[in-house]
Amino acid sequence: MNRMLALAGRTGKELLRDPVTLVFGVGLPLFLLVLMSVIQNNVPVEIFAIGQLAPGMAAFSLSFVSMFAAILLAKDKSTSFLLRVFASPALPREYILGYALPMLPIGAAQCAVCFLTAFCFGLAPSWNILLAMLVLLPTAALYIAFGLLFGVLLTDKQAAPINSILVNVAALLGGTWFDLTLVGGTFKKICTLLPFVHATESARAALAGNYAAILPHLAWVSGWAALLLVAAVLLFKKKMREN
Amino acid sequence: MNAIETTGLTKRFRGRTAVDDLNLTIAQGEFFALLGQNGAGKTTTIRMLTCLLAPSAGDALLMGESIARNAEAAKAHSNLSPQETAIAQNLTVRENLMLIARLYGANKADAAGQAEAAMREFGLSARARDRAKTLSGGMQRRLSIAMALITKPNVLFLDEPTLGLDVRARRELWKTISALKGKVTVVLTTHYLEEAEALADRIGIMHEGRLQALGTAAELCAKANATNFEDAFLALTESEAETEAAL
Ligand SMILES: Nc1ncnc2c1ncn2[C@@H]1O[C@H](COP(=O)(O)OP(=O)(O)OP(=O)(O)O)[C@@H](O)[C@H]1O
Ligand SMILES: [Mg+2]
Repeated sequence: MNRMLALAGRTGKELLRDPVTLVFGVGLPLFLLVLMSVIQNNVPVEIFAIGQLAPGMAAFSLSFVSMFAAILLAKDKSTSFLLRVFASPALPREYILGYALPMLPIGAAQCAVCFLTAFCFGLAPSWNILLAMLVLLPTAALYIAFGLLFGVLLTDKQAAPINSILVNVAALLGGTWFDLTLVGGTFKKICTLLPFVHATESARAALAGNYAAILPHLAWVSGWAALLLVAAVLLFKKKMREN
Repeated sequence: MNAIETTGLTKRFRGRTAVDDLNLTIAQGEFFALLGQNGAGKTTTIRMLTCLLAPSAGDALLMGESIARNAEAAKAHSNLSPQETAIAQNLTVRENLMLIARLYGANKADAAGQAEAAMREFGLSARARDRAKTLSGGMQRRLSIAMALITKPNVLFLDEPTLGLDVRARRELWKTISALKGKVTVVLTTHYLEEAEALADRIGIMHEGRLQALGTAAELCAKANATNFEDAFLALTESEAETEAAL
């Protein structure tokens, strides 16, 4: 426990002291939120109504969590810092949680900033906002898992570019930018198999108070998150014996 | 009980044998130097002994604990300074030291005390609150070594600790390391032969993954029929092709 807390504290410090990524992770979604809302005020489109846009943007902003985790982990590999952790008596669950847990408050802060900004564009304060943030927990876990996976597999130089592909895929296939039913066909089928649109929809349903609709989306995201987490943990453990 | 006992320790990487059937016993408190040219297998040996790399065959006991079967217990007895400088760049000097102390089980208060002592010992106190990435290369190296020593391991692995240090810093590190003699079991690799000659109780010379020769500096000189240790080292690591050509 002490070892896990020591590592988690270090992860948190490392992230907060490297504000470039953090500013980017909060700044970009925020910028898009403001931009789309301003456009919306002039040319109303249903998908960009604040009740749709804000939860979509909160879900999207979480994709940056994977970027933070992957970059930190890949860097720790390249600087051999990870060797030290592996050589210490710390257990796999301790160091994996040491990397993963600090991402949760950061993700929560990202979502909070999205919703707070949305108040300025007419989002009505309600308890459903807290529910939406809670519902986004499996989405956060999903992106943490992506981050650990990429961090273990990729080098220092690959981590950022590959992760920006993930961020873009999450944005495009998440259903925040365009209504996926308009495209239809195979594209939509792929999108519904992937977790990204379900992350968006789960938060939208929660915010709208459409409680019955939450669960199927939540289950889909949770399934993906669990799958990826298991893969990340297994690869992490394998990596530990193969330096 | 011996500090280290390896039996048939072997590591193969896709066809290439990096460490080949290593049988080696190192007593507690012994200062052991592992020498060999680039690619001889020194780092691979250390990585196996620190449980960072699973052996392809064989096993080793570290303070009686098997690295293959009881890695966790073995790890608690040792610490290492990797060949590359391994520090957390965005943490301060003090935070780096405290983190390692806590990873080996110290609570926060103890870790703080140990960090102070380590900084004093390594001349890092003035930089305690500076981020590690702002230190010079040599200072970072010192921090990396201090991070290995702070946990007071029974067995200390130093993989080329003086790499990149200036002459004075290297001398000072020698002093620090030689003060450990008899108290801590040290396994040191280096390309500075005089370092091994001056510090080590016994020297093992690896060549192409095999332990080519083992003994005190004087014994190795005698074995190779050489007047100085450098000649002995060169003779003992001559590849077979060269030896054949010379005959
Ligand atoms: N992860 C790996 N995959 C494949 N081959 C490896 C790996 N690590 C080491 N090797 C190979 O094993 C051999 C021994 O390498 P090692 O790093 O142990 O040598 P060394 O004695 O420490 O050399 P140096 O003095 O240059 O540090 C080399 O041929 C190296 O290429
Ligand atoms: Mg080496």
